[in-house]
Amino acid sequence: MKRAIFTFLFVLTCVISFSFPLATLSITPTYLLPGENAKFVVTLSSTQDVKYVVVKLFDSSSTSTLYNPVISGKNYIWNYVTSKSPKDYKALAEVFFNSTSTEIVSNVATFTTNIPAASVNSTIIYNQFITNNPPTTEVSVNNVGSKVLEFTTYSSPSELKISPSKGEIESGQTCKLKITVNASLVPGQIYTFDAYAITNDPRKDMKKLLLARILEGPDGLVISPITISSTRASVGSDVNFNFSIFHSGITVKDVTVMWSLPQGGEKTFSYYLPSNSAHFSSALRLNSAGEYELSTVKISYIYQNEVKTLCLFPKIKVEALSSSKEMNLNVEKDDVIVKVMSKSTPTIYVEDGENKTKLSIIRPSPSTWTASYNYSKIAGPLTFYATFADVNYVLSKTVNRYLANGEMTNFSFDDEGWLTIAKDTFSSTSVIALFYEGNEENLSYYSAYNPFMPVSDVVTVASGATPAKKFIYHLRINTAIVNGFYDKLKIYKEENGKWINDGATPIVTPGESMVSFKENEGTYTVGISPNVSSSTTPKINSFVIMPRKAIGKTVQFFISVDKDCYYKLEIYDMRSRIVDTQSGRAIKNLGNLIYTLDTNTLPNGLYVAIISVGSSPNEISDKRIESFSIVK
Amino acid sequence: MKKIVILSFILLIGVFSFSYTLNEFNEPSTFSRAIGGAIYPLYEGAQCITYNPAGMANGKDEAFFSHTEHFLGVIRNEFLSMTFKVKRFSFGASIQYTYPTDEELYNQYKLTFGGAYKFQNYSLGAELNAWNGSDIREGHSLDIGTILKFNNVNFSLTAKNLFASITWNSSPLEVERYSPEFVMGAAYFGSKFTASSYLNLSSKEFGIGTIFPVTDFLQALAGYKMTLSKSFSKELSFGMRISYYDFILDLSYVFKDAFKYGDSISPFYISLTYDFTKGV
Repeated sequence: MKRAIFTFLFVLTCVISFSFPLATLSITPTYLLPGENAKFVVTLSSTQDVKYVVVKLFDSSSTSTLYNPVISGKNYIWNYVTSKSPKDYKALAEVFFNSTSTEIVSNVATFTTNIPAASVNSTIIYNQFITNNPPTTEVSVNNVGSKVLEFTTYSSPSELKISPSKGEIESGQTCKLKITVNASLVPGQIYTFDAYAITNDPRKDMKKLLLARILEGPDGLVISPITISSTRASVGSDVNFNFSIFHSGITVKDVTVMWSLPQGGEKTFSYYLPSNSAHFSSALRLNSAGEYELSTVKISYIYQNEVKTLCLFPKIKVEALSSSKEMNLNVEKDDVIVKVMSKSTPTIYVEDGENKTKLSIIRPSPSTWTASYNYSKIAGPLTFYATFADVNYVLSKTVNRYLANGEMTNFSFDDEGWLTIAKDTFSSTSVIALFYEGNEENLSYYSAYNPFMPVSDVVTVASGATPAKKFIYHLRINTAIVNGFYDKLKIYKEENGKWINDGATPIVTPGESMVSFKENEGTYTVGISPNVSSSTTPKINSFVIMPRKAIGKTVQFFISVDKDCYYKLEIYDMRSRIVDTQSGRAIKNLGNLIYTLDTNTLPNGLYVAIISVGSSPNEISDKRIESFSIVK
Repeated sequence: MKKIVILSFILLIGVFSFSYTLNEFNEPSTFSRAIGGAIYPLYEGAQCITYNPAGMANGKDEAFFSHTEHFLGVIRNEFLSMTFKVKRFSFGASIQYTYPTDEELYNQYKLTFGGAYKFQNYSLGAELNAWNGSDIREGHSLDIGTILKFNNVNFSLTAKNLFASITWNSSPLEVERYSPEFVMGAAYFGSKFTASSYLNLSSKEFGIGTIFPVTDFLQALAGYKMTLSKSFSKELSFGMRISYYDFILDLSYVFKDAFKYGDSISPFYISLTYDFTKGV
């Protein structure tokens, strides 16, 4: 029985469908802007006996009929240009037949141009150079619709700050959104940030809009990981930290390293080292127990004449422990004497460049241990470590060796208590030498600095006369130093602990090795500027190949020059072929690392490196030749 | 026969596959440096060892010594070689010592033994090289060369440093293998001068030189050499050969990359050849 009923209904449906065709009206898009085209499609189940099809269109104020469709199979199609003013539309189709006056009517379809509509010029911003003060990108969102446009924003990943984050825009109005990268970025990587707006625009694919895509990096800066000599050391020790900055296309202006101290406040290390690639190394003296944190590395650099800043936050912690153990260094002309006070036996190491050596110790008293180290005469830090079997920390102290005027100068310092010297205090060719007072109880180790080579004693004269009376000073000079440079002698006066070029005219009597000048009371000396021995063209103070016998994978080439200059390094093999070259700029008085040779690119054997410097890239004013060997 | 051809082909490919060419001082001859290194197609006796072994077959017994100061004396090279003829054969041996003078960081010895056979317009030579030194445990290679005379032109073809390998005193010991070098040369013997040239296809070296007899005992020499590796290096060389009885004194000075470095890296060579045959 059931089967009979279903069969009857099926047959009836087929007959009705055949006899009375069905009409379906569809309109796309449903939401559109005024003046845009809407496509009407009437689909008939059968076109048999169809005379014509029309669409009747209603809006709030009028009715119109669309004739003459384009017929495609069973589809009757109209393209309708909507009115320039926003409206809500309704439409239905009527199908007329030849054989009967009865028409059939389709469904009622609606569409509207009365909508909120967003218009955004999505933008892609490419910041090659990462900076912690990134430029703000502004993107305008227009409401080109007739209703209020609502929006909210978000970013992917979430580190973009978009302001305002949400809002409403009236018809015909514009809202400007400010987009800023709010992330800690690391050079060497490429970051992609997308800013989106979610709107109530009902049109297809207009709900989620890309406002901006911001690409950051990879940057011309590459910063090596910061290495710390020890993360656990006793009070009084030095903790060495070092890192390298490699860059291209930019000039590093200055670098600042900040340590948070356990008692509060910060310890700052500043480097003014414009260089093509620079290595930064300093020692932090642990003066009190607690936690020290390397909080910030700030790098200012110049890119396309704009100063930009990059901040890194390494957050490396060092624990300073109270201890009864102590280490003191006594730096002598050729040796450093290490003295360790400890009840347990220390093991003392020295790190001199890449070499780490264990020192032999002697025990002059039950709790005193000493060792001696004959140090090499090259610029750079010399770090002594003492480890103990009974406690898990190290004592360390660092001596920095400086090259002054191309020669080794035996200065004994660590970086605790650096004097801050204004950049324009001295002429650019001055050598700044810091003198060690040697008072271990007082941390103010440095009392003076000297932009010149002193060639006389210091004389101090005070006067109670009013008005101030000028004295004639006579100072005996060291003729061995001055020889040939009598006209370069200058008078220097001590002011607030600094030696200032006084400007007084020295009268020189060469035969008597005396300099006379007339000045007010004060402390004076006679000096000669170190730059008098250098010509106007750049000279190489030192050219160092490390190591001379390359057993490892790299050979590094360093030069120190007496003024900023261009350099060219050429490496010849024994067949007189130039097998590697490097050129660039070198900075005055620094141990510029100019090239790191990958020894895997060359066969083993003997090589010669020729370094030349000049005031311009193609000029050579000085050169050095050194041999080195590769034995991988 | 097929097997031999295939085996040779595989061997040749294998030999070519090493990326390095040997880094050694390979110009001990003053005469050669004066003519831009173009000694390969010439029969110069004892000093031809380390160049083209076929050149040993000049029909004389000779002793040869040279001293070289390179890169303003930073690199020095001493070289001693001798050849003896037995009928159509010439046998030779040499020792070469290379070292830097600015720091005692390295030295290198090279010993060579070889022979050459000359028949009418054709000669064929072969020699074995062995290395030792401060950082070299052992090393060896094979050189094969030929010179063919056609009218007043000599042609040469030399295969140098075949199967070359050096065991270096690194930790662990490292054996470095080197590509062979193929050197072509040609020399023209005119009535008033001799011109010679060579091209080392493997190490990208090219040189050309001329020899002008001034008197019976004096010859003027000039040459030009170019090398290409990372960058071009150019050399202009001058020299003279003084023959006095059984002695030949060669002097040469090479203006190496002179536009850049003046004479500071220019090598100076002096060598003395003693000709036993002539003396007897």
